[in-house]
Amino acid sequence: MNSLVSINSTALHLNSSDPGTLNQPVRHGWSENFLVTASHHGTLKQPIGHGWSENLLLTTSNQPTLMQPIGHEWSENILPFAVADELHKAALMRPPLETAPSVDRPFAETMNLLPHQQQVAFLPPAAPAVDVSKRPSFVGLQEWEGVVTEIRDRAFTARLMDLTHPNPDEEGEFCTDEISEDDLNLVVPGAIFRWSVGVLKMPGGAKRPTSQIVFRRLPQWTKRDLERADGVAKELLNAFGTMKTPDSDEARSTR
Amino acid sequence: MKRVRPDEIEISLFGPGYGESVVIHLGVNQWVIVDSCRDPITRSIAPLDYHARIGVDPSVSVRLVIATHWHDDHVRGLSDLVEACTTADFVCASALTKSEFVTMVTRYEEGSAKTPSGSGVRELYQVLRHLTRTGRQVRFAAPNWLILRCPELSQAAGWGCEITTLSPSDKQLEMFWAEVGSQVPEIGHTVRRAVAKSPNHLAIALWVSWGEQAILLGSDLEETADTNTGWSVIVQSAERPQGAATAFKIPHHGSENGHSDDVWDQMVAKGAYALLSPFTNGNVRLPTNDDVSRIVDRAGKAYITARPQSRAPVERPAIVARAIRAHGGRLRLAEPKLGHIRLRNRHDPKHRWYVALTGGAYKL
Repeated sequence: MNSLVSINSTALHLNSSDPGTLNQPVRHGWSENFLVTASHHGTLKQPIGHGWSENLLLTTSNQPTLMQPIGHEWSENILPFAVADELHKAALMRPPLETAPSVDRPFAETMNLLPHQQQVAFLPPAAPAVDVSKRPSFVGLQEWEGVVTEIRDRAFTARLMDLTHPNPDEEGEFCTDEISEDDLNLVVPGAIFRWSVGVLKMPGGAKRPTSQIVFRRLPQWTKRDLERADGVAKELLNAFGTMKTPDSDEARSTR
Repeated sequence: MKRVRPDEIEISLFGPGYGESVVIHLGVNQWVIVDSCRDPITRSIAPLDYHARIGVDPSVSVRLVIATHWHDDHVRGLSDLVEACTTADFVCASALTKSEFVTMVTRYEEGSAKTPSGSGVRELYQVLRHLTRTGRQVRFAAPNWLILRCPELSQAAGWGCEITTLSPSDKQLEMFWAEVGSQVPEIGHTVRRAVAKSPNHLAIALWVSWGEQAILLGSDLEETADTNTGWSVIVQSAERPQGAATAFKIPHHGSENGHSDDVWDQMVAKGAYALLSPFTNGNVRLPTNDDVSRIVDRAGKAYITARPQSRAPVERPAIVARAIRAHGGRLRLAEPKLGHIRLRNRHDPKHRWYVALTGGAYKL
């Protein structure tokens, strides 16, 4: 149940984009975030989270099947089955698919739904979870948060903060070939990513070293964000306006 | 570590390879701290750590905390430093408290999700919030602006002390506004971290004098082709403090764009001590071999806080190292070990400095 409560508590902000698609939320925070994208026909399509440690990664196909998270066996992971179970329960409470917000339904109206309606409106149809025990699983050994500092031809340099052990910051060079197509446009100076290295445990027991770089998908600044920030800035500026500065008589006397 | 005597002046430069901080003893346990950096290993704030080791209480002994500019490598730990130095005035370029910059910083910090790695903008935002919350005095730097005079030292230590800011010039402020304008987050732009760009328009160069004795702190001030900016406008100024500095904190980590022959000829004494910290970021490593040769030729003696090439990778379990290798990643420490150059002087007529080097610091 915790997972669903978390979803609700992060208040998904869904923007309706092109017809048929409810697109993209969210706050994109590492830990508490869930990025869920609902596409046509009421199915949950891809999101992400990209297997961040505590994140849910929900993927459904065109079938009304919950294709399960991933989690890659991160240590703090929400168990896929628990997630599936919760979604299943939620789906049972869910109104018929056709009552879910449609493309014609204004976003504002969607957001005016009662909480339980919001909760279920974008959930996939109930379906049994796929057995994940037959899949390769990733066991994370080491994680860094990186900030891109420099970009060159097909390569970039980043400053890395060790999230696994209290080591000094490191610097790494990466080839953009290793970045997924979807993430390539995110590789800009100042971009933040997470780099995880570990081993891939194959169903037969074999282990293969592997690594994954996932760029953080940050939201866009909204009018509300900037208005709130500007309000704080105004408070700071007002306070500076009442401060003693070198232009004041007292300060000038030190000259 | 040996404590400083009341009648000694001191200039200490800390530099881990990414960032620097200067600590100055004016005399009689009166201190000034310029910029802030962290020890990359312990993450402690280098100037505060140093003060703790030599028995100085920063809450009563630091007169000024000066932020020479807002680049990441000069403000790490600055907010904690300002809070610790509770009686110190804060000095910065006036532009940092003006609407455009405050709005930019606030938009970045209020609008973006937080990350563990932090940023220089966050440090400045926290400093601004602290200053406004506590109402602490802020002093603004400007060309030839006297920001501190300590006549009381004359009786106690035998000399007075004055600190004068030499920059930023009006033209540099104009250029800074242009830079800020291009960085302000706007509606619909993807959230990102602010990335300060060179040149360092707001860099505050400082002149600290004790009678005839003086030191010149070059911050990251760069020389440009425009004579209304950089070092040119300072050297040409008739109002600047006169004299020749016997110690010179080399600007901009020794890079060629921080060099000015006129500064060496007109503001620095022959045989002066040169101090610098390296800069490493990606493929940029300062100083270069040419930079070192130029500095050594000009200075009587030159010292650097760390060896920029000295950045071995972190040791990790074999399985992790294998996974990193499999990925093809090349890792190294972001910064060399923190180094400390300390010059002390008992105000003798020959202006001899006594040098102590610790950590990764060495003589060039």
